[in-house]
Amino acid sequence: MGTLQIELKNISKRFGNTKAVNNVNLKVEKGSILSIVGPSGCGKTTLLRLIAGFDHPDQGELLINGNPMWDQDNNVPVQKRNTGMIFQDGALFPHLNVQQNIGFAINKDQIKSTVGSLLELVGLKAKETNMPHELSGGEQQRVALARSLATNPSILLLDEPFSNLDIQIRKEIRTEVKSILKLYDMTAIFVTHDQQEALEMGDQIALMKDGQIEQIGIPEEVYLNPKTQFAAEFFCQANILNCEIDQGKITTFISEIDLDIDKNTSRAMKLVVYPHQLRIENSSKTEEGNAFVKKRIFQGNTYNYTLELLNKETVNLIQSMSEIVEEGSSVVVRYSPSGFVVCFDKGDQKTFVVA
Amino acid sequence: MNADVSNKIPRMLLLPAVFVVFLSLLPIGYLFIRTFGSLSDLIYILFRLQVLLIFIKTALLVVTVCSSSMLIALLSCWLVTRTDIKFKAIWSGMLPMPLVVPSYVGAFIIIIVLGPKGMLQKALEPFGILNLPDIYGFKGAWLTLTFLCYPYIFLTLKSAMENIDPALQEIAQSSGYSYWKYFLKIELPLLRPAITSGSILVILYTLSDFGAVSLLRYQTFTWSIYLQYQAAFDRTLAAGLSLILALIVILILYFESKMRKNGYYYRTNARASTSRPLFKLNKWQIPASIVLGSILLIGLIIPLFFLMYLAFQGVVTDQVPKNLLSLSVNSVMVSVITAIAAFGAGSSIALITAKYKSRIAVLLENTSYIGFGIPGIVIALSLVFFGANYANILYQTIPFLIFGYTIMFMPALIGAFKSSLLTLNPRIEESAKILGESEIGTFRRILLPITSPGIYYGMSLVFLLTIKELPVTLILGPLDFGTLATALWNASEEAFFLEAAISGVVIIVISIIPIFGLNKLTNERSLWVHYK
Repeated sequence: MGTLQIELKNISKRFGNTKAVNNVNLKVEKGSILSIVGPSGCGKTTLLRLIAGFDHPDQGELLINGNPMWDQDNNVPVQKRNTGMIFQDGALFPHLNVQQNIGFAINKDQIKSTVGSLLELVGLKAKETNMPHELSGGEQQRVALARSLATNPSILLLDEPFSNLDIQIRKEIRTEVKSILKLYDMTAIFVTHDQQEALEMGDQIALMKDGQIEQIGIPEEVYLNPKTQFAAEFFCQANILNCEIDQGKITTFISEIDLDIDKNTSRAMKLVVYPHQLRIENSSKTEEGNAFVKKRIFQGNTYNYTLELLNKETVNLIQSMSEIVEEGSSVVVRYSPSGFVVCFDKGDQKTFVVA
Repeated sequence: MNADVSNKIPRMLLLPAVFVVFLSLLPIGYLFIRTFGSLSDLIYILFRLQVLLIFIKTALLVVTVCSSSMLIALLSCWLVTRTDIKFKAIWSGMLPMPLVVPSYVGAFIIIIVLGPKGMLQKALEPFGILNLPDIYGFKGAWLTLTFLCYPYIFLTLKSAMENIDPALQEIAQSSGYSYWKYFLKIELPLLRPAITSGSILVILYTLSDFGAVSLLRYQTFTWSIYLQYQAAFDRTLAAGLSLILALIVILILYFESKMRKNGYYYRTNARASTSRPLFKLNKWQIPASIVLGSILLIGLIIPLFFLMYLAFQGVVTDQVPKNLLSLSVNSVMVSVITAIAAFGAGSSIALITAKYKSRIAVLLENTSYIGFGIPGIVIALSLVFFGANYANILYQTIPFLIFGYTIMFMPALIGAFKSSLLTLNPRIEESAKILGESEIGTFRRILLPITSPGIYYGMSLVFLLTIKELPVTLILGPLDFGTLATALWNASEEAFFLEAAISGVVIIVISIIPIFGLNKLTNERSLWVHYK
């Protein structure tokens, strides 16, 4: 385990009657990127602003690099926290050119060398004298990154930095920013509402809801083993189906699967079904359909289907273009999990190994 | 987010702002206390027929000026924004311009042209017309103020009309509304807030005007106050009238702030890119141009033409005021100092009101605006009372005069500075802080350079307002001190019309200078806004 760079202990913050951040504990190791993902209003931006020092917690402790930044006795001002921050809209200084923006906080004698190498790093050598309004959105964010790296911050905070960009540029700049952060061995917290982005950027993922951390872990773990039903639905975009566990089997409306468990367990639960675990086929004479195609959305290389099962539950799934099923037609849905399945028993998570 | 507890106003900002607001309320507060102190005398004086007459005359002028300005503004604004009238850019650039004509210049021209033995009468004499209807009194004041005031409604209305989403018209017409039904049922209600806020400006202007009503001898509150102040040994009536006028204005300001709270709902997406279907004028093209042309002719061209013509005659006949240079220097000097003082005094209030939403911030903003709304003559009188009792050394000195100007015009700077602060993305300021810059450093390196066009704009406004100011200068100025404005007023009171015209031309020329800088800067600023 590496050294701890950011540590939050029982941090809370209210605005009026709303608990924007509610008793949050977090640890980020040196050189690691933590993605905080959650729906809008979940408190993720507030949390970031508390770490930066723009707002102050009502209670708790905040340490950066082992030094207390905020607790009952300490309140280090924004300027002294040695953090960098990148905002959604870049927030470049509109009256300064690219070079002056990057060199804003550096000593005069270091400006030339530092700014030059940073410009090269973000690939904007040719635009050093341009004004912010002459740059594209992606270029503005690159300058913002260079500007915050220029002061050698001990941590970097990124508040939805790509959400104003076109989808094509977003993918490109994501990988670029990640590789630059890794090059600098930078400790970073990256806030987003897009789970795809969180997965791609984060070494760790923290899932936030109503001011609290619902789940934290490496991306694979959070994706494949959601701890709450919210995590399964929001982050994994999984279907939740009613199921019955009985006689060592898990039975849903569309399937019956053997589990490696004690045969005496018997109860109704909710089953997490990932879109990739479902397949559809046209119904035939030998087999009657168990669902109708309610909606089909063309997504380029795949189709996104919404089905209504005959018991009125709905499921989403993705299927390749080779087998096309028309809207309104009766189909057979097959469910084939491997490894283990996740169920929720009145909100508590249970996992079962598939036999 | 709700009220943020940590968003407390820093003391460094709050203390100077409270101090400034306190200072600016001091004279008016003193007027209230003093007048209420002698309440029994006051009631006896105020319930005289004379006061009722003043009230009725003032109300008559306010109502008529407001309705005629509204008509002119609505008609001209509709022609400029909603029809295919030719030379649209020229019309919409020229129509607000009568705003720069000081009211005493407008009144002075009316007297010259339409007065007894005026130019029009002389021109008509060969045709046997020896008497024109009397221009002094209500008719002259109404005519002058209407053509000086309509730009206030025109400007608020124009931006509102441009901001209305063109799609509304398409939707209405596609659901079977005729153009006029759409205009009356949908557009006009949407424009009501803009018309109201423009009208409030017109009402305040008319209530405060001293130059036009004094030259045209129409007894509204302002001129009556001045007459009482000059003539009577006992100044209780002047104080009482000032108090009534101040109360009326405060009532209007209160009503306005209530209305502002209800929100201006005309603001829709200004970037709506569908172009607006324009009303085709066809054969009405020429009559419409004649209408706009005559508005400009009466409001701008005739006054300026005669002013320059008379000034030219004055120069030719060697009637240039001997002290013209020193008058100009005085005018420019006090205006520049006032602009700087207004920035010094107003910037902390602007910063607070732009950045904090607390109750104190709202209170500070509203009270600082009282000085702007209250007529100059009332401010001047209350300063006279206050100065005579508590600041005898300062009384009738230039610093005291500038103090009076600053109370009155600082809100113009606050407004301009505040609106440019509001266009500034708060993340930009936070970026500077997280990069290690202190509060003061952030102000110096980020806020100040980015908002400098707004500050410059605000200071120019204060400069313009001060250079045109009349009643405060007349009352508070040192005995041997004159500005171009007071020289013009004195000269036309004594019928030295050519001399007056020369001062008028110089005022207008000096006022134009900062406007040029203004255009250049607003262009640059629009670029920055574009970036945002």
